[in-house]
Amino acid sequence: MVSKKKNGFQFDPRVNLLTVVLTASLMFILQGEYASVYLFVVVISMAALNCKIKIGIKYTVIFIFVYGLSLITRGALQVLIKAFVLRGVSLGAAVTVMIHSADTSKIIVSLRQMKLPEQLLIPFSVMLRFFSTLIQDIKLIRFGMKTRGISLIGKSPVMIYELYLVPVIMRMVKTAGNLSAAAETRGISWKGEKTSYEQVRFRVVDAAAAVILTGIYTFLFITQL
Amino acid sequence: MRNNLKAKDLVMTGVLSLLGVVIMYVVPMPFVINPYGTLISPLIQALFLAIVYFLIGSKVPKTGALLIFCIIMGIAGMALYYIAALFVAGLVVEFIMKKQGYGSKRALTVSYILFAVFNCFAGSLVPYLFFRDATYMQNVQLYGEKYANTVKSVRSQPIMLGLIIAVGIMAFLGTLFSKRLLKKHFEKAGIL
Repeated sequence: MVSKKKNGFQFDPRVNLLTVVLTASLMFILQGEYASVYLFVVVISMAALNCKIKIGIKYTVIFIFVYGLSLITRGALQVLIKAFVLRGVSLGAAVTVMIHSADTSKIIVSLRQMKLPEQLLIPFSVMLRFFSTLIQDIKLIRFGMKTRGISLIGKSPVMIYELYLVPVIMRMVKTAGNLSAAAETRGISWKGEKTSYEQVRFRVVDAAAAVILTGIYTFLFITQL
Repeated sequence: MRNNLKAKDLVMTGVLSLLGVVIMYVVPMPFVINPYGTLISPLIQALFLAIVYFLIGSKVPKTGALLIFCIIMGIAGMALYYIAALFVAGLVVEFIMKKQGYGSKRALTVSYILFAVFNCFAGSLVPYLFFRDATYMQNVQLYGEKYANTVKSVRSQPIMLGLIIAVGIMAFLGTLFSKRLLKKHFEKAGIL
């Protein structure tokens, strides 16, 4: 039974994953002056088609701001913004749309349907799920250091690395332990065929979107606009 | 290859690999602005990725964990030749670990140095060895002609050979640093 969609139309998670993969692959390969703009337009179109309007608007504002910065800055900073930040915004938008368009469980189901081995499927799913948690943990650690009056000014890079990294790793290891225990109770180790309450089907519209996306990215790659 | 990784091992590998990907991109970022800094990036990565590598090797001392880590790092690099190079690195690493014993600090040290050299070779040197002209044109478009010319001039063969040796040394220093951190914090806390 197909679950009722609460958030409007959404593509199959594999189509959104394809958007991420193609954007990441072409991010540093496209050489044209407006390559970052074309990439961004494609990604925002996908956001709109996935009914992620708020995400689309947010990233459009960020992109316009960063693009403006790339026009007014000079030297090394301009290089950094044009070469990395501007293109990174497109990738960030694609990843955000992918994560918000489907639950992690749907992404896992769709990857399982692609016959991805469990040895890669589980780490990949964990990485998707954990990314926002990692960012949150780093912010909490910074806040904790501030609360305790620990200043990074005047400290060596090695000490700064130790001050940040050790708490982050401790948190991640503990959370990984809890996560794996939860996964075990849900039968992740069971060898039989796994079913899912959420149904994920690759529809004709998903296939058409995948073909059109691949075509657009191929066109951008060949023409190097 | 007999694989006895359990779900909890795969979860731990995934979590720590994520940290490795973040370190791979974030830590060298300040150095990429300067064309000479692109030579420093693999050295920084070699120094700071060691702790993640050692943690995976110590927390999941089983066949396949480090191979999965190498594959994930390769995929994070987003280039086909990079994925292929790190996949080969993963196989070499697994071979060393199998021969020396999983969890052995000496095996982890040797295998990490090899991983760092593969990482440097694939990420920093292959584009300039095999795709020199295409990489130059790409750098001109991305960063400007001045930046691209500087990068081209610092990618001579003696410099590249020196870079590989330097990465090996930094990787070794990274393993010493990691072993110190593991003993000081994680073994004391009972994590390892």
